[in-house]
Amino acid sequence: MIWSIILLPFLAFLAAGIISIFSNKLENSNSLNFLAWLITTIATGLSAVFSLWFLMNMIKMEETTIVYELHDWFISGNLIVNLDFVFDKLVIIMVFVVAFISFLVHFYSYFYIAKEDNLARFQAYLSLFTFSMIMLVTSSNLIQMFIGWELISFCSYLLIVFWYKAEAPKKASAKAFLVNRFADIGYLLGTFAIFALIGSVNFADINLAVANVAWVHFNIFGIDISYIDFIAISFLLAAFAKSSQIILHIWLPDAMEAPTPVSALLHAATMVTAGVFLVIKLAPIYELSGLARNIILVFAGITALYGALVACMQKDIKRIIAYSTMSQLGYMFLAIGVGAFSAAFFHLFTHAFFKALLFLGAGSVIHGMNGEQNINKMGNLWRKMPLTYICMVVGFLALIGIPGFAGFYSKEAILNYIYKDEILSNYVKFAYYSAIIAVFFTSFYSLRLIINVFHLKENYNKEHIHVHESPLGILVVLVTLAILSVLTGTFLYDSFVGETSQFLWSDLYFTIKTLPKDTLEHHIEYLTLGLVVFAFLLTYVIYIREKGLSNKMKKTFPSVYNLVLNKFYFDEIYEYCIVNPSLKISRMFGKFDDNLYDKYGINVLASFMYRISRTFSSLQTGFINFYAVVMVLGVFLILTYCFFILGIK
Amino acid sequence: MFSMPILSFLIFLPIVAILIILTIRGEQELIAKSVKYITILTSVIHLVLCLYILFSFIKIDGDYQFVEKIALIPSIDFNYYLGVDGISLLFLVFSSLLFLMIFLFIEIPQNNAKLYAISFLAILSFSVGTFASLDLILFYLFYEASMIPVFFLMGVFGSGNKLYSTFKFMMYTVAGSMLMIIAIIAMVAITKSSSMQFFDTFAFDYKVQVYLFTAIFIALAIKSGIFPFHSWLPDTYETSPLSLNIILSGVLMKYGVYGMIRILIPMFPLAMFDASTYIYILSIITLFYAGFIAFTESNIKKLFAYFSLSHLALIVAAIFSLNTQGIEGAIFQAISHSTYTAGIFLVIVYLKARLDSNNKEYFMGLATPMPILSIFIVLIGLANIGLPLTNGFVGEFLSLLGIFQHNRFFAILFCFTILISAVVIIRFNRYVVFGNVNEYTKSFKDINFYEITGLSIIVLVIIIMGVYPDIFLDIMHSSVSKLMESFKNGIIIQNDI
Repeated sequence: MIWSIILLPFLAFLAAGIISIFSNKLENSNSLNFLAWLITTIATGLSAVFSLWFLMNMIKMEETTIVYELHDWFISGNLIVNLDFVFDKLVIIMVFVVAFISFLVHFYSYFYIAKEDNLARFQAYLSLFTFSMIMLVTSSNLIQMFIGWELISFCSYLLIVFWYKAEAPKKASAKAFLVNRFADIGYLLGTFAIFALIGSVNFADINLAVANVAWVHFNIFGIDISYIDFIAISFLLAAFAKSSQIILHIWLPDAMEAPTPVSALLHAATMVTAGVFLVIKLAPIYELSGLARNIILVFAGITALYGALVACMQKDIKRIIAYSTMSQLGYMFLAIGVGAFSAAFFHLFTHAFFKALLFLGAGSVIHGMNGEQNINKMGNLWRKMPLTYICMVVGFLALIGIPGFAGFYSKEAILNYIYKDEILSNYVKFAYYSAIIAVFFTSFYSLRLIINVFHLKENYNKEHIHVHESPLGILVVLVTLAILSVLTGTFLYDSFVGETSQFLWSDLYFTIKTLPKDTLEHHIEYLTLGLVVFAFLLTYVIYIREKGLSNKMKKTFPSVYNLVLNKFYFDEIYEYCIVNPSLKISRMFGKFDDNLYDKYGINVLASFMYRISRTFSSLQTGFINFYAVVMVLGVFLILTYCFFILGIK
Repeated sequence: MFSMPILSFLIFLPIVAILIILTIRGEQELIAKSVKYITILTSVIHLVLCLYILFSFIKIDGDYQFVEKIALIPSIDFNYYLGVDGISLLFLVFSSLLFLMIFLFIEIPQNNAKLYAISFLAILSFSVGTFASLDLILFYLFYEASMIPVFFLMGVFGSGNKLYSTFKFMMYTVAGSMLMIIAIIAMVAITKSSSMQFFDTFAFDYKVQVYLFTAIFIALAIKSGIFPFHSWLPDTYETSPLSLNIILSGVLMKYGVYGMIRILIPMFPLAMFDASTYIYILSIITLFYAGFIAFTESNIKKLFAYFSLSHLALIVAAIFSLNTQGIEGAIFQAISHSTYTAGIFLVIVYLKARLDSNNKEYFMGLATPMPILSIFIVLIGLANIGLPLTNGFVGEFLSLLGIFQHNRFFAILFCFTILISAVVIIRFNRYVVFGNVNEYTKSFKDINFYEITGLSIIVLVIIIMGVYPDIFLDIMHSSVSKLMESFKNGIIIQNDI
């Protein structure tokens, strides 16, 4: 049973992969593609059902942690790495979210990619992606988790480069892989340091032992560094890249080059949540490291703001939602920064549903618009695709955090935790204000997208594009997600962060701070709602009442406008400061090694030796002769060396 | 325990095959065909015997097994002394596997087939000798003899500016050999013994250790291409035939690694310990320098030459971390490197069978015309990157962990290897796999069943080693712990004095 949760997606990957190889050679591969789709969808669906069943059982039997042992992966000295699969409640919920969203995405893809070639290959990648994420989530130790950690990078690479005939996906995929790979250095260093400190890499051992060794330091060049801080910051580097926090976020918006269902999977359940999950898994370390928490608060605060702000100016519908993901991930890390791990996970959970909804809804819009992604070239779609419209609105309301929708509860919980944090440092204050202000921008870009896409006047060529509501398959998925985006908040608040949350987190090692519903600060709710209303009014004014206003603003603050429009020039900075110089250095080294190194180094010596060998073997010139001569010479030298210099007899 | 001299048999089996090949007369095609069968048969038997040793090897015994000893010159204790432990056995098995791969899956050139086969069989024989010798002089003889067939292979079957690169290769080899033989003769002269086991327990004076260490290290560093001594390698790779590239990277470069583990650690522990910082610096330079060159190198053979350099630098550094994880990681990474590099060169062999060029630009966009080959390229690339569940990961991880335990600062720098490898492979994939199809590649036919078999074997080995690394680590555990003990004793003895 439990093995099937993990193995089914992998078997589905193998099946679909083999089918895709065969379907490549056929003229008409529709039936094979359908078969691959059916297998992968059923496999992930079963995986989701089993994990839900397993969760129910776990709650019923009041079990805490179940470990399934596979085999020892490798042992070296005192390092023992197992391949064990650990299921506690956190893990199984995560597995369920991954498998469920992935099931919907698998299902959806048939309607979205049907006309593209090689659906089987696409489905195979998706299944592998799901498998890797489940591997990551269920692993018992850091090194085993690295399997999933790397595989999801690799899968995202494959999925982004799925349409490899265009230029942009190649660049985007390389960027995604390399940024994550860079951050993996942090993962490795963190693992090494944990091993050096505790002598084990198992999560269970780490979480138990870490409090006893919090004071241990080590030394680099005379600088004392606390192990705990070093470990926490190293892993933070890895987590920040996966979860796309500022500075390491540049891969995420570009990952939009992948087909839309991928974005839904990547942003909702897999990949970006991996970073948050890792930090929650290592919660005791972050509880001990105040330095790391402060770093989190600063970076996450900036990320929440930056993502929301940049989303306000983007034109591409998928990019807007992508930056929105970034901003929401900022919220999750803000919660972690004040030690509210449960709230972070709750937000991750609700976010999974409404973000999947938004992306799949955007996919539906793009599908209906024949591939158009620019929101300025849409308009008045609500008449043509009413169901998509309703679902998207639900998704955005959940994202903004309107009371009653899922996002409200998780976001409110985060804001409350930050507000109630005992350490009233400047970092916490900064985090609080940035979280509040980000609500304003979130509302702004949400409504802007809705107005531009679904209202206003049609701005596309009606003769070329026949807008149509998406097929039933897509709509079923959207409606399911829309319902979940409403319900998950109200019904699960208590079990995640409210009164009964002790139960859910009992098998984890961090301090549980419950936040019953009636202790929520009402003024935060009013404040955020006020900001939402203000943002809505502003959007209304800018896009409906005073259409000239936005142009006027562009002209009055051109530098600010350009800065935000170009995403604060992060891509350009990286291009000029890292990519170009390293390629330049590479060419320089190459030339140096080809020409100079040999010319003035080795070849001088070589020609000298060659001349000597000529004099010795003037009759014949051959390599073997030369070789023999030099050997004789060598032995002669050696004997001299031995007898005279070392004075040996 | 086992009376049949199986290691000698492994050494002399290829020699017998050489003698048989020498007697063949007839037309060129006929010769090529019979040579092919003889080589395949020889290498199959060879591999089977190696596997036999592998399976009958007693893992918990860290001592040498299958020992053979015949006295040659008693006055200096020079013996024909063979035996394997967990470390040398792995090198032995993987060299044998590589020879089978090249004989099976790379076509023997029609003209001069005899010379081709004889040279490779000779390297096979000598490489067994190198890995199995327990006598320093014997080791040196085999080690040195392995280089002679390489000259023939490079000079006769090479391409491009082959004379220049053969000469350069020879220069380096000679320089290394001279240093090595000086050191060995000095060692023998000092101690009147050439048995490795004797040296393992003998403690040289610190000063002598430093001299001997420096000489032998440079000799071995030339083989594994550590920075100031690396420049023979790109040229050699560029001009030599691809089958030789596989052997160079899989067997001959590993002589350096093997020698450092077998000779330097137990014999010069103090010098080793003191030198580690300097070696780290040299390795880090090699790693970055060669890795960066590989970013933009357009000649695919040279690209992977530099890439190999960059990987070997990590292996060498890991040996100098002088702890169990580091050394086991280095050994594991050394044998994994042999397999995935062989995979890459096999891919290049298949590409060159379609278009004779070394330039990356000519092999753009294989994903469309050759989807199956592309899958293999990506999979082998993953091993090069060191993704978990491929063999590249375990070795790299243990190596880095070893270095971290020894020196935190250098470990941070060495960790960048994972990024450098990724950049190289991702850039390679971006052009060669996912690039735009050009006029040459669009007419390429996908690999056939025979070629798929070759690559599948490599990929299978890569994955088995990645998923069950314990099979191989298990074999080396007791030998490595014995090595570490001998190293620690060496340090303690010196401190007592």
